[in-house]
Amino acid sequence: MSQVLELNPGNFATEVLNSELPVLVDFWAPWCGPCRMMSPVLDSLAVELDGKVKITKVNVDDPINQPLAAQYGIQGIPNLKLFKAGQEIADFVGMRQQESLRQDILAKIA
Amino acid sequence: MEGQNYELLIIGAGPAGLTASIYASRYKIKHAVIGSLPGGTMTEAHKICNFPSEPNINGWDLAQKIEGNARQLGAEFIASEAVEIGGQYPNFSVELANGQVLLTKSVLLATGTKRRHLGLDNEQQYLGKGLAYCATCDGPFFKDKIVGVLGGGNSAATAALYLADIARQVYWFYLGDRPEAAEPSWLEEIAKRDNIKHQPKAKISNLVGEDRLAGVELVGQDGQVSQLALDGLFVEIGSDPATGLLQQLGGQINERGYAVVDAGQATTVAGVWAAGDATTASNGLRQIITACSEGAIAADSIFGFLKKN
Repeated sequence: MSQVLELNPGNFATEVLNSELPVLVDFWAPWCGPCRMMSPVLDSLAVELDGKVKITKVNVDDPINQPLAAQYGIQGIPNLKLFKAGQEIADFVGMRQQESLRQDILAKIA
Repeated sequence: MEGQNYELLIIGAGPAGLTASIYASRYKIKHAVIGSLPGGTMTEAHKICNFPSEPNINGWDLAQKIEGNARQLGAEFIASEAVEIGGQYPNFSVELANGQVLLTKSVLLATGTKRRHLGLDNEQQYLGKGLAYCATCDGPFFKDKIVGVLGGGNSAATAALYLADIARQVYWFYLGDRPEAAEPSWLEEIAKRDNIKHQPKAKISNLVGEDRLAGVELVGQDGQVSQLALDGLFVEIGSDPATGLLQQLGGQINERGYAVVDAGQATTVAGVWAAGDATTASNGLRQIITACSEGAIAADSIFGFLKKN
């Protein structure tokens, strides 16, 4: 079972903006091949970074989530945004290897 | 031999690798397919009309069918990327991006191609902020916007058609007088769309904008620079063969970087075969069907080789 939390406009503020832990939000869509490739990477990061960073995702293909995609200016996916204390502190666009992504996330939240 | 996990490792899960797996399963060759995206590049094609029995299918669905076929016959999939390869027949070692090392008697490289980038200094800055390399991935974000497609081949033509259904206006940029490398059938469909505007002899010299892409700078034949406002630019300027692993083994590539193979898809390294878009086979026609064909031929050659050796 994936530990990656599914987000929607109903839980975005609680789970991301008001989160005590830094949060990585993966904006993705089912028709995006590179997003699908990132999925096991994020599942694995969710285990590796448990207690340090919360890993979440937003399906931008779901009409209910499209305002979130618009609000965060998503024009290309996969797009991973890192939030800390309610602020967006970094974004990563496109495919990433797990190791370098993990290092970049840890460096940004340090 | 002790410690050897596989008779064959297929590196790459596109149509060549998947078809090779289908044949390898039928030949009862103990094998695995390494790749993080079953289907590979074809998953990005929004419309495929020339794959026999499929007059109109998108790349994602076709990839799932071929993958399903391979899985049904018992293929083992390893969702990772091969980063290092070493050894020689019959002892190759393949290191994956996750650090795992696999041992195999033989190898099939079905690694396909890597997309070409524009090569402009500010390219990275606009990635995901108006600049895109995958129309099917990012096209939906440009509803009613003005976009450009750069490239003169089939990928660019199909991207322009796909985007014409979403965007208000599509500018199609290519270097020559005409998009020479695009199939006439695509050009016929494009001619029916009044929101696709051809921009021949177009050289994009710069990307402009602040937080997001706002347009492109074009250099005309006379050297005059002009700007065109765009909300998005989709780059489809071809790809280069991913033959790094073959080079690690000392295998021969041609002057354009493609893996040199014989009629049985064998490379110049004993125990290593190559199939799909990264090879010199199929008369350079790099299509899903030729990738499948090369995968089948390679699996058959490997079967014959393993039986004798």
